Parts: sequence; C-alpha cells; structure tokens
Amino acid sequence: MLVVKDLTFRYAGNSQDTLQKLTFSVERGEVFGFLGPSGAGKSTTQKILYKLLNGYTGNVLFDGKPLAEWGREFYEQIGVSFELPNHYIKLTAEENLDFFSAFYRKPTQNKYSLLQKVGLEHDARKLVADFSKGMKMRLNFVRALLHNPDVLFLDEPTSGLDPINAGKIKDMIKQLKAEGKTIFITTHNMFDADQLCDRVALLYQGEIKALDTPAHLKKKFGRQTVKVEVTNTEVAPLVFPLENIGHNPDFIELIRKHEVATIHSQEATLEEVFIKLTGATLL
Amino acid sequence: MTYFWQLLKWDVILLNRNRLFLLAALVAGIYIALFYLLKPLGNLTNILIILIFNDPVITGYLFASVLLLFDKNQHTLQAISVLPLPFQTYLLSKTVLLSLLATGISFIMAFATKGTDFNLFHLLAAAFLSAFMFSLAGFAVGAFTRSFNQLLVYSVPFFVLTGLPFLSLFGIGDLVHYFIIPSAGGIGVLQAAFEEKSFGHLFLMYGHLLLWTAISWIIASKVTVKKLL
Repeated sequence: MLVVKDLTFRYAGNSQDTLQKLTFSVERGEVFGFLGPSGAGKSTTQKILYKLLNGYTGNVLFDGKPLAEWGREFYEQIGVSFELPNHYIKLTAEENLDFFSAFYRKPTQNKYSLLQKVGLEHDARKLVADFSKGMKMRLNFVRALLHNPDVLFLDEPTSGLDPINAGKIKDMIKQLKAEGKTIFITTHNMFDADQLCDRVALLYQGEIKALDTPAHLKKKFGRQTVKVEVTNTEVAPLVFPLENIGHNPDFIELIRKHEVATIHSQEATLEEVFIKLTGATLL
Repeated sequence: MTYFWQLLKWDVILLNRNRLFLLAALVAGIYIALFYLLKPLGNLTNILIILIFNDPVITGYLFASVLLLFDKNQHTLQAISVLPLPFQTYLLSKTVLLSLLATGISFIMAFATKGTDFNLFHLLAAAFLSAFMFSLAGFAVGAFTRSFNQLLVYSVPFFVLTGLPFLSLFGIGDLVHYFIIPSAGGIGVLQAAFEEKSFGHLFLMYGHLLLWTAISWIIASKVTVKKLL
C-alpha cells in the first residue's frame, strides 16, 4: 500500500539531513508503527507521506503510484488524526464533523455512530471550546474516520486520554484493522505500539535503527529474565536471565535458602530494545 | 465550485460565531458617527473618502489576519490541509466573504452620509477590490505572526505606508506619485465615486487596483502555502 525507498530530506538552512535514506513498506491491512523520541524525524516523515512536504529525494509510492503524481483525490483515500486537537472551538462537535464532511466527494459515515464509539454521543451539541483535551482527541480520531478511508495516519492516538478512553481507541484501531484498513501509527508510546502494531520501525536521528515485529525485536535485542522476591525482606529482589535458569547456581541457591514470595518471568519491552539500540530514551 | 460554496457557508457561520459581523457593524457605526461629528467643518468629501477606504482596509486586513490567527491557534489549518480541498479555495472563500462584508458596509456608510449622491459602481468596485487586496495582505502578514500583539506590531508600518496616498487628497503630490503603494488605485477609484474624474484617471486607477489585486493574490497564496502548510 505504501512503499518508501531511500527517503532523504533536509530542511532549508540545516547542515544535516533530517531523514536519512528511510526504507520501509506498509502492507495493505497492516498496522505499522513508527516509533521514536521527539526530533527523530517522525513528523517530517508523516508530512511527506501525506503530501504536505516536498523537496525530498528517494521514492514514495502510494497504492503503486508515486506520491507526487497524486492530486487532491489522495485525501479521499487517507484519514489523518493529528497529535494536537484541531477543531473550530466556536462550533459544536457535530458542526465540526459536518464542516469536514462537506469536502469529501464520497459519502461520509454517520457522525452520531462515530461519536458513540468514542463515548461522545451526549456531547455532540456541545461547543468544542467546552471539551477537555481527551474529548478533543477522541473527536480528532473520529474525524479521521469520517470518509471511511482505506489508510489511516494516527499521530499519538492515545495521547491525553485516560486509560478507559485509551482502551476504547485501541479497540477501535483493532476493529479497523479487522476491517482491512491500513494503519500507520506514529508514537513514542512503546506499550501502545507493542499492543497494536504488526510491525514497528524504530526511528532515531532520522535513521531507521530496526524494523520488525515487536515480538522479534524483543527476542532479538531484549533479554528475558526471571525476577524473584523472597519473604526475607533483607534480601532485595533479584533478576536472573531466563536462559538455562534451571542450571543457574545463584538462582537455585536463592530458592533453596529462602521462601519465595513472588517469582515472575519478564519479557524485554520495546523501550528496552530502543534504549539498547540507540542509547537514548523515548521522551 | 462546490468546495467554494461550502466553505463560504461555513465562513459565514464562523464569522458570526466569532462576532466579527457585530464588530464590523460597530466599526462602521463609529466611522459614520465620526463623519457627522466633523460635518460642521464644511465639505468633507476627502474625509469621507478616507473613512470609507479605511473600512475595507480594516475589515479586510485585520479580519483576515485574525481569522488566520484563530485557525493557527486552533490548529485547524492542519486538518484543512489534509482535505481534498485546494488550499487556494480556503483563501478565496474568506477573501470574498470579507470583501462582500466590507462592500456592504462601505455602501451603508456612503448612503448614510451622502444619500444617493455618489457613483455606485465606482464605490462598490473600490470597496470590493480594495477589501479583496487587503484581505490577502492580511493573510500574508498573518502567516508570519503568532499572536494578535505581534500582528499589530507588524501592521503599523503597513498601515502607515498604505495611508500615504491620502496625502494627495490634501494637495501633497498627485495620486500618481504614490503609484508604487498598493492602496493608491483603490483611493483613486473611490475618489471617482464622489467626484467627476477623467477617463484617463479612471483607466489608470482601475488598472492599478486590478494589477495590485492580482499581485496580492499571487503573493498571499504563495506565502500562506509556504508558511502554513
């Protein structure tokens, strides 16, 4: 659905490339995560992918056709949910959706049903000025779905949401995937990425440092461990490598000498993988 | 054109919700009151020209830049930029709406002060095209600003410059001497609404006004696309 090859971009006046030969593809029906800290080049890549930024080198194909050859009809095919709320605050939620619906040629989805899915059904006639940030973010999300696009670009889709509403949005993303939508998620939330994405690309300083499924990345770059807490509070919790745990003398000695309070196997997180690969954190 | 009419409809709603229609009426009311206050001083045609010309300038320039600031602050431009809508339609709709508003108010001001003793065509043309040009200027300047205060700071030299051709109304040079300034043509056409003018004057002034309107469109559409998207 989306093929990016050797994508390089430099802002005017900069001495270094913001994006350096990015190569990846997103298959139809795939949830693809683009992960990295602020300044990694996520926004620049996104702007290029939804045709707001030109002057790049390399190739970007959307549905087999170079991006540059797509006209405004491109926006009938994609839906974008931005990181920050972007609504007319003097209009109601319903009016905002009517405003944006007015510019699509294909029929748009029922706005009330969309609002209901994100728990805003009782706020349709409320001015957006009176919305909390979380409500605005949910409205952002449903606006991206209005014209039932084939491809969705979601920028930090759970940012500013409480766990319940974040869960609702994640469930909707899973549902959209089940419907065959292609979804490109940009986030620095590794937990969300792990839960939602089929594959993730770890971006750092304009380069893709790794690209694979979350499970493979964790297996390849992470370390599986066993954490043991004993009832003797003078002994601090200890962590052992999972590999050959049955032959680890320290582990065996610990569980022989002390009564075990808790024992858990632990999987590496994407965050740990990212730190291992880049030496940087995701904030 | 469907996009245009849809946008125009929503721009009317947004202008109303932001109480800019009310503000425009208030400004016009203040100008009319000012005119009546000054009336005992004698023939005030030149003052009327200044007041009527100021209205499209203010309505166009300030309202356009304020509307753009609203869009910037609400981040709505981002959302608009990923619609199938050409960005130029966004500019055109707001510009046409503000120009129509300014034209209507200019007519009310002229009618309230002169009755029917003016050339309607020249008045409407001067008001509409000047407002069109200054709305575009408002968008171009607004594209560089982040707050209303910053906008005001940027606008002061702009207003001083565009006000210079008014000096010709008081005998300081001829309007043609100010032709480098975009407002000169509009002032010249507005003069023709209240005073008999030669064909040569009209030809020059209309030509100037249309030329600067076209230049404003080119500059504003390029600047806004480059700075805002």
